Amino acid sequence: MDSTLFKLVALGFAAVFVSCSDPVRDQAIERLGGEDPRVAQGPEHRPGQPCVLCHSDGGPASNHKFAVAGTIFETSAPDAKGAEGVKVLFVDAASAMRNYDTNAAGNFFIPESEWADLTFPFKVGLLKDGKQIPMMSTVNREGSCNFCHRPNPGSTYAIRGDDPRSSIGQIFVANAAAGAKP
Amino acid sequence: MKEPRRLATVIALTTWLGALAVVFCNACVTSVDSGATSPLALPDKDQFITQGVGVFMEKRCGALDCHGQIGRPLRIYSSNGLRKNDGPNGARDTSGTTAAEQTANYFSVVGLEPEQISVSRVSEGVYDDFLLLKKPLSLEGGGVRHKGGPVLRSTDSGFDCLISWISGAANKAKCEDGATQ
Repeated sequence: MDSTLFKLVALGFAAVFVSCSDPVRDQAIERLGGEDPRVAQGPEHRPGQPCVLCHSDGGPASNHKFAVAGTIFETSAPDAKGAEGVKVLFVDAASAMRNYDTNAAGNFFIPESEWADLTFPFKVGLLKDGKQIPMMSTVNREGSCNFCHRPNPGSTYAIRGDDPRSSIGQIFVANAAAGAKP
Repeated sequence: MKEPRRLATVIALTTWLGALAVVFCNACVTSVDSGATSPLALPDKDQFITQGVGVFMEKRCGALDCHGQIGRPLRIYSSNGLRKNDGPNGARDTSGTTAAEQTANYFSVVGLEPEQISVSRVSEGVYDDFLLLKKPLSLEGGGVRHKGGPVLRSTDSGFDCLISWISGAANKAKCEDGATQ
């Protein structure tokens, strides 16, 4: 009888812990696929994927939380090279400003600790070789730029089962005069 | 002795199931009235599309991280946000916002609280008691909780755009100005 009671209590605890996970987030992370074995886990991994999905409270990378993060590519082609050295400029709703440079993979990220009081919505623009490319709309509530700007179909990092109706495509800087889409 | 008890159990179960079936069938029958008509006085669809109300909503509400999402009750389609259909070969549709999307946006907006909008229009003047006009405002400004926070002030052109459309004469200039703010 004691053994049965113990099993029931253990089962109850297990149920509570299992129910603490976020199934929507878990499913979204699963759809990202595994790490690319050619790229070490770090600042240059998973270019084009929605960073804050994992780098936030409750995520598997919650030890490195980001306020905002994303990827800039050289072109709109699938698996285009990341655009290094692009300055990403931000102005939030409280008029606070930040700017960060992209790394060799085209990734940029603002640690949450460096902008804890980020106030949505914010505006963002790119500066590349003296050319300014402002984003047409504001960012309203999503810290992952790649949530809306997902990798174009055919990319290594394209998301499984992605629906092109809900992605405006990856951010790229080439042919800026012809209308890049940051 | 066991047989009569089993029989009684079967009869009791059958009676319960029968009663439940009657309740469900009645519920189905009484909740559907295919002949009903809706005498709602909704704002005009053509004005929504031609006077820039729709474009204002696309630009200010229809971002992919806001109402440009399948799961939103107020779903807004646009060329730079959520598309209604795929483009050629399953790729993203890169054309401008289509007529079907504009129409869907209209029904999404008026479908948010059709009765309340209608009542406000009939009352001629009290236009601020429904979600379409309360959600964008701050709590201090007379609004209600909005996950996207306050996005308009009652003095903004965008707010005037909505008010003018609901009152029957959409102000295109205000809508265009509101879309770029």
